[in-house]
Amino acid sequence: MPEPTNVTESNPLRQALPRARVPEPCAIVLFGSTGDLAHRKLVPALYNLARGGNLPSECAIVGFARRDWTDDDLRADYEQTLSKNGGSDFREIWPQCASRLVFAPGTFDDLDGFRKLKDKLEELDRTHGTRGNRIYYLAVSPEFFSTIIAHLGEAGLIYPWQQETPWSRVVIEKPFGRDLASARALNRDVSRVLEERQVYRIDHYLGKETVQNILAFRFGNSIFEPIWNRRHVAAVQITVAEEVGMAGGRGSYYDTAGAIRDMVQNHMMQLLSLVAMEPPVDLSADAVRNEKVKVLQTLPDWKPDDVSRNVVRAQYTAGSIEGVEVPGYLQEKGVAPDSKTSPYVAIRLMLNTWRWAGVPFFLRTGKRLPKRTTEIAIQFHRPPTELFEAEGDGHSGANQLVMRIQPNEGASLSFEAKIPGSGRRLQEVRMDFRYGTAFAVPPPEAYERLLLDVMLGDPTLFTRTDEVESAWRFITAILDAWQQPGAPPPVTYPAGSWGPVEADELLKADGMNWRRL
Amino acid sequence: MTDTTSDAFLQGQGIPVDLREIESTLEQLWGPAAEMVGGPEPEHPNVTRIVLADLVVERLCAEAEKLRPVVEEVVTRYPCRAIVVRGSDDTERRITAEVSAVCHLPDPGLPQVCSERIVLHAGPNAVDLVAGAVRPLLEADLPFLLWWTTDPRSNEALFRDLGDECSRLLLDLPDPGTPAAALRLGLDPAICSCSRDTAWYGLTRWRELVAQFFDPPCHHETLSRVDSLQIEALSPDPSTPPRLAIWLAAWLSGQLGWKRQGKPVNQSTSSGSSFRAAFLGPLGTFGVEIVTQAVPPNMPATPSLLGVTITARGPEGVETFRLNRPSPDSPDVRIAARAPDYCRLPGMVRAPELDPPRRVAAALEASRFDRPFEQARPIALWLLEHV
Repeated sequence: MPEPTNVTESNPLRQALPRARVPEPCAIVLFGSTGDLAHRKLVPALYNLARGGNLPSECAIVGFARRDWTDDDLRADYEQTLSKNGGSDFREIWPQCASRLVFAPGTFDDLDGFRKLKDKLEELDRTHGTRGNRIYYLAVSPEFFSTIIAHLGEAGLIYPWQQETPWSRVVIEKPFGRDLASARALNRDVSRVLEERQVYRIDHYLGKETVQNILAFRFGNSIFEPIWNRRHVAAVQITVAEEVGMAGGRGSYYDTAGAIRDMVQNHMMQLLSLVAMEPPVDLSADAVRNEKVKVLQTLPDWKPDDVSRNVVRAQYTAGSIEGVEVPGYLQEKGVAPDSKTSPYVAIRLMLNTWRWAGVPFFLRTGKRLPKRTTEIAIQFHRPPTELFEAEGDGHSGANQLVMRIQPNEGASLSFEAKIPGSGRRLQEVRMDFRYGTAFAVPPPEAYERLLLDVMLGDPTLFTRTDEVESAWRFITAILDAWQQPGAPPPVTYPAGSWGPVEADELLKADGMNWRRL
Repeated sequence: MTDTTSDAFLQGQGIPVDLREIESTLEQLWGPAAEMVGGPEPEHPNVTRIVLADLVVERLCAEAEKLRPVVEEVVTRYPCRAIVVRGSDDTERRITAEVSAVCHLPDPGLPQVCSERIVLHAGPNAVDLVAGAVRPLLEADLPFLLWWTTDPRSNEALFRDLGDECSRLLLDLPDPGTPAAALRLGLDPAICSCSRDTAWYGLTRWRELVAQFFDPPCHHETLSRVDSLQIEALSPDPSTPPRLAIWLAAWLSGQLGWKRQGKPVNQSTSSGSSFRAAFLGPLGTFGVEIVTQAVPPNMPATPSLLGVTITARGPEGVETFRLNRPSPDSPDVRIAARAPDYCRLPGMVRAPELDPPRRVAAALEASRFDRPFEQARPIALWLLEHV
């Protein structure tokens, strides 16, 4: 990935050095500091960055929340969170981290709390040497995004974007809107206070090493790109499967979103754009994002009829996974008994580009599928003639390249090999690459990488306004079609199966099947 | 092949094997080994055999066993076929061999990752047979990495023979205590165009921290105004500067285009030594000093850096850029700049010294093209000749 800023290019001492850098001093304000995301992801990521020497010593983390807490309360809360998985050196490292934690009480709708936050941050500049640099992380429910950003502006917590230093950056968690209209409205609210370069919209999938490796795989090798087009590729399947249901109290939130908003609009659109994009001119943030957004702009403009032909939505019914009985979606806690929300979506789409014309892209995601797995499968054309006898369906040579995003991160290429003996029969065999075995060093967690990038000012792995809106344009057409009078309700599939039969039918027209995962 | 033999193989115990039977023995050992620990199930094997490179480790000396844990750690970090050439007391003109597996579990639930280790024992009368024994064991189409750990002048013919064929040569000689002539031969680009000194890889973090001072565009120009460099080092033998410190000075000199002047001088001091060299920079001749002290008794007897101080002649007076460990055994480095517009840098960062396996692994993973090293090499050799 590129250097985040232009500061290093003419420094001769940077030549041939790894690109890792320690970020500038800064204060990180966590809105939603007492929430689930902060405890599960953000605080552990910050701790691991500190543990790995990637946080500057002049860094303060400010928890902003409504509770009547002191700094010590926040420290005790995070210590409890971290001590479980903090590593053998936790007791050694924690005191340094704890001294950086500060609590700022306030509510999101109270401007006065933001003014006090400003005083607190200025105090931290003096006591912790944070040098005026600010990151505001909005790990809150999306209805608060606009209010918080407006108050950040009104309280003077955002610097003019032209100012090189000190700087202010705002990180916004997904979901960024509920449809195209709300995304545009939110973008308008954001742009009143912030310039695009100050905004970091997080899709944590982009922080995964294997997702970044899609670019390396495609553009760092010479053997794949020549065949990465309609002449050689028969179809592309993207699967994001989860075995979990609505455990952990997710039901009430999820029932307002469904798979289409929770997974397709963001993660799957990002995977699609990385697979289908043209080579960027370089790896700078804008060059990469320019190519990604072009893919999203070529997504079809669907009418309701197109949606009914190309999209299957479904809810799981009661079933069993790994020998345990699980309830159906409508019986889940927090889900309305008459809900039309779909925890499963399958989509067949075409990209109207020179490279991909005529190649179907099949996307599927669902909850309560047999296992958790995310992968991209490139399915190549069969050979034009059948010279050999093949096992299975009698057809040989449907080579597949599979990029596994999780688990068992890696890639495999399947091809045909002759079965030893006097016959001419072929059998599919696989060449397999696994990150965990080829590289002994475990990759950093997605949030670690992304938080570090925000501190370094590198927006490459964050979503730009036009990407968000282009994805929503496509998704909103589907949502609108589902709202039409007479739109068919979600079909069903038993929990623990690979989805409804209607989803299988989507592929039949192209003579294909979903991959068995 | 018995189950007991396969067990011993997987547990890392050497299985004696005839030199001509190494490949077939490995095939026989890997098969049952994989089946025994959960296979055979091709979709979900419990052992994965990985070879990313051929790593030939030269250890033709009496202290071969000491290197064993380092090799294991390196192979864990960088899975490869390790061919270890060890010295022995055998006076016969023959090479004996043993094979074993080096395994580790990358993550719970994932298959064990295993690589193979082939140890060749060569006595003093069999050294000339080594190259012929190693060549057939190299896996085709993989990088051939040569890790040389003794004075290359002792077995120069073998060094030249293997060095000429390898894709990367890593010279891992004692620091301190290696004569400049050994390094000159070991790093001769005519033998291997990609030869490196492991000490170089101990510098990476320090180089990053020094470079960071001069990242802002307004400070690029500061580099042309540098008028002194002082490096503080610890060494088990403080009477001379460690190679680690020499490389740091040579790197700065190479990157900033300083020209060598006169003859460096090493002087004893009450606490160790002071090594001084003169360079010609854009502002004229100036001094580089390496101050070396003894490693404190509570620390491992290996060289390390304690601090780096660079001064520059600024428009408003002397500008100082200093990195130093708060205490000799601290993993942290304190950063201090006394110069206009310095508001960006943190005051302290964690920067532990890399241990030997990590240095070697870093060297194996680093790019083959390392222009700063190429530029520093002649300067380092010049400095070392005057130590």
